[in-house]
Amino acid sequence: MSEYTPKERLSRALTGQSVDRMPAVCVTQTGTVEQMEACGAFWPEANSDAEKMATLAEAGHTVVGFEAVRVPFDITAEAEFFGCEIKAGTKEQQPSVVGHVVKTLEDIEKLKGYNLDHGRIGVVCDAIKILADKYGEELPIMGSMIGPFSLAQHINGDEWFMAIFTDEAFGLALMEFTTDFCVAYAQKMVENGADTMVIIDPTASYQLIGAEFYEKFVVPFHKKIIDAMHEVNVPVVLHICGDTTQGLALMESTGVDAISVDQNVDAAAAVANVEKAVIVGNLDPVNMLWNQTPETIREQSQKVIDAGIDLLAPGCGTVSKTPTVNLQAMIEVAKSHKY
Amino acid sequence: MSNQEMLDTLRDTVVTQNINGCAEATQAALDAGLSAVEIINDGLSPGMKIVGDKFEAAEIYLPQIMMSAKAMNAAMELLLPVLEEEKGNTDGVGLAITYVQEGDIHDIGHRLVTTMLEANGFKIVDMGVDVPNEKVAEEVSKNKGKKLLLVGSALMTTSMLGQKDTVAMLAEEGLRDSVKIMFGGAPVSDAWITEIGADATAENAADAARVALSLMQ
Repeated sequence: MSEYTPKERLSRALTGQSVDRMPAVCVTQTGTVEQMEACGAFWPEANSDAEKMATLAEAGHTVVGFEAVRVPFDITAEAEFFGCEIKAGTKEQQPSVVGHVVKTLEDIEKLKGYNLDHGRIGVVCDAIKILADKYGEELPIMGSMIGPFSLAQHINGDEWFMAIFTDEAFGLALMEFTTDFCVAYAQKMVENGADTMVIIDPTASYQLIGAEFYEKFVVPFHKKIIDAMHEVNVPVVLHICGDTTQGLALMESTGVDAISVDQNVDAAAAVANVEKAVIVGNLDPVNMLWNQTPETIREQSQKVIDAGIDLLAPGCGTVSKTPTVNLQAMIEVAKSHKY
Repeated sequence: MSNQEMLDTLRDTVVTQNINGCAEATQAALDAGLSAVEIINDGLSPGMKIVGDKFEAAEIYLPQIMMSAKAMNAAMELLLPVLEEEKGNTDGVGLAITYVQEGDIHDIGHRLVTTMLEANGFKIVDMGVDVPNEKVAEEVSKNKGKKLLLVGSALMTTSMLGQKDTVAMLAEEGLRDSVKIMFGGAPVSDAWITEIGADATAENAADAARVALSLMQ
């Protein structure tokens, strides 16, 4: 007999309370082709249709066995919302941002006064509502969004990395803008039933920008989102790509509940570099989860758990071609682990 | 100013991300009679080498390295037409065809690697982003017989898959032996390189230049 519902278990695990065993969740994107074929909701339609999005998210639980449901499957809806040109995705590939809309402070002003019901932002919120109505009592409902730094990069283009170096006033103004949006969007997801927030901020990586830029252009802005979520008792998971080992203390200084690390990070070093943040990760989505056998995945999962990882999960977004049995091998190891 | 002082200035303007200064120093060096090859090999490239080393040592990060690349590019704009005129010196250490795999538009890594290769003496054909394999094979075919390096990058795991087809297509068209192939991007591993029959990958842009030079030996 299970002591907790999956919802209670994850919530407790993320906030440092005792649990009966490890929850089996994936904080990064969950959609795979096998799930699409099983549930009939395919990319790219599932990125822009709330019913299909909810159906494919649900498959992460019903087909694969994750103890949570999570939307969306990509990180371009936010940039699209502000008018950035998007290269459409396919059944196997996520969409990507190809056009950028902000060059100057005046451009930022023009984007203000938006309505969150519009575009795929509204779709994600509707999908959360569908999932929360169906599973809200039992399963964690994870809402995910791009973080403010990577959104700024999407909106401004690759010039963004130079802007934070050469034009601090512009850099900080764009961060204010994207952060205000992220706070409002996260709050709306929570109103619709999300109980766990995931911030995916891939390019706010310590490996790319170092301590000085991270402290100035990321920490205060992540803190603002996290504070807003804590006000409504929603725990926050932060995922950032690359070798973030040396940046973990800075990342944790925002008050974030959990930090998801990728396969470039040594799990034991990650755990040693935080005070109380829950470390999530970090099976290689390509060379392990996609391309290895369930047996190898079980072995590696056990290694990562032995290294002290708090929540076993993919180190980055699940590759769409990943076999379900491979994900299930990871889930099995997570579920059998008692802390 | 002596030639060595001019070359040191060129190096320093790259290291300190001085875009205007780098272009001015390049023009001054040309005016003083230095060749474009000297300016690149003995001024700008040593600068980019220092930048690469500092990046690897985590002393500087992407913002600084992109600004240095921009300074280098400002100089290259002045130098490319001059290089064309300096006969016999246009082949350099090899011809590098650089591109981002079809389906992928992430070009930060691609641009940095292209710049580092250029700084290390490669002649460059930059095919840009989202390039189909047919176009890649066409470009390789067109340059068959030269000291040829193909440098592809893919940031997304889904587009990385296309690298396998790139190698297969070059093999089918009888071009595989005409070209060395390097692939890079976050998801690319040594195991992947072996599996698809490419020649090498690298840790970062500075490493890519080293690996590229050794492949051309």
